[in-house]
Amino acid sequence: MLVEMKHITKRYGEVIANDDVSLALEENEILAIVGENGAGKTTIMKILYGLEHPDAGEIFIRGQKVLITSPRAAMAHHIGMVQQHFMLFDTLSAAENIVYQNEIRKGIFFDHKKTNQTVLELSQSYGLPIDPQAIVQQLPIGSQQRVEILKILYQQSQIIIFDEPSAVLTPLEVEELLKTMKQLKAMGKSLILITHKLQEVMDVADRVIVMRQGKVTFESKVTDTNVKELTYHMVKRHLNTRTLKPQNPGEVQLELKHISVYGNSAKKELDDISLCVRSFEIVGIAGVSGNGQSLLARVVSGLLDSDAGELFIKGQNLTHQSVHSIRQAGLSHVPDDRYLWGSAREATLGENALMGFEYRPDFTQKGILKSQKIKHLTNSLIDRYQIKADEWQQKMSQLSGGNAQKLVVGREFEQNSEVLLVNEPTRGIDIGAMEFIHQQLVEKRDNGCAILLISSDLNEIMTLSDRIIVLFEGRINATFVRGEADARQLGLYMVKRYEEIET
Amino acid sequence: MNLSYLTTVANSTLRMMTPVLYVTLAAAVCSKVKILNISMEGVMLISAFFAIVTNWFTHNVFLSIITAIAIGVVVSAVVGFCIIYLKAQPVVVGMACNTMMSGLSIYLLYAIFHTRGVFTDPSLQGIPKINLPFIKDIPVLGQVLYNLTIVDYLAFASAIVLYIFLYKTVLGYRLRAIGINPQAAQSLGTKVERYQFLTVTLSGILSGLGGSLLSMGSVTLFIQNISSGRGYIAMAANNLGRSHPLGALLSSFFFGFCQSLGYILQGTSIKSQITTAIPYVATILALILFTVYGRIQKARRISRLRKEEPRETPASL
Amino acid sequence: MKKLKLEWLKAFRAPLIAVTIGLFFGGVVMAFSGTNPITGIIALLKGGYGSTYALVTTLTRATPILFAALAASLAWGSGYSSMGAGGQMVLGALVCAIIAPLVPGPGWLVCLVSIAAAVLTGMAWSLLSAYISERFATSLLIITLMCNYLADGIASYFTTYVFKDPFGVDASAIQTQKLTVGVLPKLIGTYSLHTGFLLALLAAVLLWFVSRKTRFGYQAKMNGLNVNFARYGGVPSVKMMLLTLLICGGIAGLGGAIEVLGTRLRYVDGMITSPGYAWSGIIASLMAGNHPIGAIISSIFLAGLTTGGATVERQLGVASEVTLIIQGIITLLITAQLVIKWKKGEKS
Repeated sequence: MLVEMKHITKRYGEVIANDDVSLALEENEILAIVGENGAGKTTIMKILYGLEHPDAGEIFIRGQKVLITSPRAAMAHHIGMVQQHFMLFDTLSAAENIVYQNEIRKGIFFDHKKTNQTVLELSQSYGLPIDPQAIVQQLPIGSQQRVEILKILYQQSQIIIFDEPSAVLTPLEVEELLKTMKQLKAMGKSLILITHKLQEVMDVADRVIVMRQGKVTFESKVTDTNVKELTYHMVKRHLNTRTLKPQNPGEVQLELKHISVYGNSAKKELDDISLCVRSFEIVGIAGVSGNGQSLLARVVSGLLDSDAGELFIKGQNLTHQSVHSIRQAGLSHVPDDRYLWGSAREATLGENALMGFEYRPDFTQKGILKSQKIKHLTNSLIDRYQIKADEWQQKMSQLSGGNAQKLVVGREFEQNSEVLLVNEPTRGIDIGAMEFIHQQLVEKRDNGCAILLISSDLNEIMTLSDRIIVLFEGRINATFVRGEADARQLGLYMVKRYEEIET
Repeated sequence: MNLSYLTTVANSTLRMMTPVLYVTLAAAVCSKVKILNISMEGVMLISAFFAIVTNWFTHNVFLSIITAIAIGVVVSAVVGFCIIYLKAQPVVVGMACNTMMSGLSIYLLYAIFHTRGVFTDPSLQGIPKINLPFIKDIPVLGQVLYNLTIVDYLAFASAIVLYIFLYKTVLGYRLRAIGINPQAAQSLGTKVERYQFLTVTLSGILSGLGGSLLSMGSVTLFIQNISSGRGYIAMAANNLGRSHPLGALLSSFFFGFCQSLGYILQGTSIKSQITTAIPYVATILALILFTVYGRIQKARRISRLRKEEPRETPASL
Repeated sequence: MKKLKLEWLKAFRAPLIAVTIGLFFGGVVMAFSGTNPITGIIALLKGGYGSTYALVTTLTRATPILFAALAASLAWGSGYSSMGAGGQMVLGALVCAIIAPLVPGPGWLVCLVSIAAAVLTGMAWSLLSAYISERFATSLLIITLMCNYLADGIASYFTTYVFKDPFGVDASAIQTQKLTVGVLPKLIGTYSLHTGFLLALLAAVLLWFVSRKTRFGYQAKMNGLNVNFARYGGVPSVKMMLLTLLICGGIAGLGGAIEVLGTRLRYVDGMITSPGYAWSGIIASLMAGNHPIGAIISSIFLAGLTTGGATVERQLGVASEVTLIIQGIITLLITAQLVIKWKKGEKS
């Protein structure tokens, strides 16, 4: 047995992230750990990698009891981890990133020449091509991940943990990654794959462990199980697939004409975007994160001035208008990051709920706030959106991620705007909350709302959208009507210019 | 406007810029590891004071400079500890430190020398001025470098050494990496807080040297609040120099020039209130121009981009 | 209700412990120069708050500090690290002292006009730094610091060369003409305390109401807690910044005017900067967590330290700047939340 983790328990305050978890990794195998968000799978791996310290439990490597107090200690035991959020130094080169902590020196000096040479050889020997001198922030996401993997290989790790490695990748890049993983196994490495994408598990893993609410609930060889069984153990209930009631789209509510945004780099970050959203429909924007979605959302909501083009809401020209006037014109906006944009963590629930309502006469009179009305609004949000909260004056930071998201979503939905801009509405929340938000979205659509849904989760886009637009490198790369394209086809347009595909 | 006038300006610029250069470098290394340090004003002040105290008791210039450095390191360590380990708000820590050091220096000035305002004494030793053997005889250069001290030369050397350290050595590379992404460095097993703490602490060496120059450089005395805002000017200089040691060299040269201009104009009919304001106005203008220049650059880049042919979007909706 | 009361007590606990530790260190520093620390601290507290005379002096001194603190609490609470209160007060005071003798008519009119002029001056000066910082994306901290030095130079220039008191007995005193009309009435007999103190209290209550109960206050608070959230919600960020700092400038300018009309009755070069009113104000605001009502208490506390410091210097021959050390330590302790951490350790 290569690694054994026995009876690991880890608490964060009241929450038990890992409850008496035991697992083992054998030499030269790929072990998959699956589970919903918040099931504790990342926590257990952070413990193995020394980023978190367990409250109880022991770790053995090749039968020897070890104490992993830091990532450095983990590295000394040849354990490496590719984290979900890449741990890269953006403005340094690929080679500089890879050799971090194990630099090639010439006395006290950094030997750039030899470093580049070594990294090039390393990348060739593992078949992971990379330009050692490329600045990391200018590389595509897939290559950045390759830098991460090479960094771990450079440290001569034998045990490699992948935390949700495919979450940020395009379907093609995922295939590449899975190939890489198999190859690493063939070269004698042992891998742990954390994921909630079961197809990947079936494709590469030898063994699978299912976690739910901090506990291991199921364990099996991959050959002895199937996706359906794994799903059942993950959520302990069967998922229903959503069907949309057909609706006749109404008038155009939101329209973008030739919107372009020039970035600081040498390329346009949004390039001539034209689209419209009508009432009674959801238009989905698909694409790998970082292809202009967040810029698009910021332009539509008024947070960013476009350099060219026009924006219309309900026929009104709102190009270069303030966020406030765009909101007044009838747009609500669920932002992609609930803590960066969507709330103030140190403010109370009431103060968070009030945002966007503060100009309405129901809530202010001559500029003076009506606290009873605010209390009422907050409590009704808590009720209607099933938010687990103690009282309306507690701090936002005390809510869990899913509940905070429900408050943000609820606040925006309750504005009763005719146009909704919804950006990554279910990122990082559990399945229950996700289903609830999906249901609310569909309800909004059936009531005549025009919804622009931006999501990097292809499943979400495909289940909810009437029409799908694929963004790639800031351009509209393809458009589809519901049911017209499958995931593979969409995936292709997410990674290649349409000119290249269609010729 | 003759040559000797210009060399005088150049000479005084060099002497004015070195204290600012030291604290700007201190600010630069701190911001390289992502720590906002505004305590240089206080650190410089208290170092200048203790340099004079040691000087008074030992009449030894070397020991005085060492004391200034030691005090700089100790106070910076406290500041770093509060910001890094106690997670205190950096601006408030800096303000508290500056208030405290201002109070402490005046308090001790009274307690030790029983005086207020200014302390000076003929027995105090200044840092020896060096006039390099051959260079001093070269017509212009000799006058430009006239009467600079070893600590002045050390300031220029520090900027260059710091540049090599940060951009060419392994340790410097690690420090820059920490500044670029502290979380990543942490997850790769670097003790980020320790590096940050050591950087802030050692930046005290620079502030301390700057302080020793104030009280033992061009003049040998201590005046209440002798640092007179140089620590704050350094923040602006660091901003202009993009936290790069060589950038710091350029921006502090600029401030040195403004200051020496102020002093030289004092001899003319222009009122002293106006001449002393020159560095501050210049700082504001420089910051504005810096931004404007950046914007012009960006606008040029964009207008180049816009010249590209417009392109059709596929399957328009 | 009971829970709410406990919260109130908790809010005071940390500052109280910080003050105690700060005074302790003050005692240690005094001990170094051979003064009995206990005598020293007692003399300090007695000199600051221990008699009617001391208390009245303290409250008079607290007035300009409180105005600066209110300006700082609004700015910092809304997320703008402005250090500009000093310059704004200086120019406010100067303009007030210049305008007041020029206004004909009864005292109340003189008072009103010169105060209005000072408020406008403070606003304009604040707006200048806010505008530069916003328009040219430069650090407000740096710009306001530079503007303070600049304001000081301007005021010094005008008092020295243009508006110097022609009737002064002492020709070396750099000051403007003494005011005779429009002076703020005293509160208690011949003691120095004047109605300006009540105005400061009123301003604090008003600011508290505005920041907690109005739309502007709500938007300013959200802006301070998370500027992205505020922008996302439609709070106009540029307008917000200019407006907030405009009001701050007004408060600071008012503070300068009140100091002229209530205490000095003229502008004296360095009358705002040498006592460090603005710095004390900013520190007082930070001690109170940028809460306007809390700022009343902390301002009075800091003013008392300074008054007491003067007594200590007179009686024990210890430089009064020992109080600056105490101030610094207290600020450091409060911001470092040492006390809170210590409390947490106690619990677990």
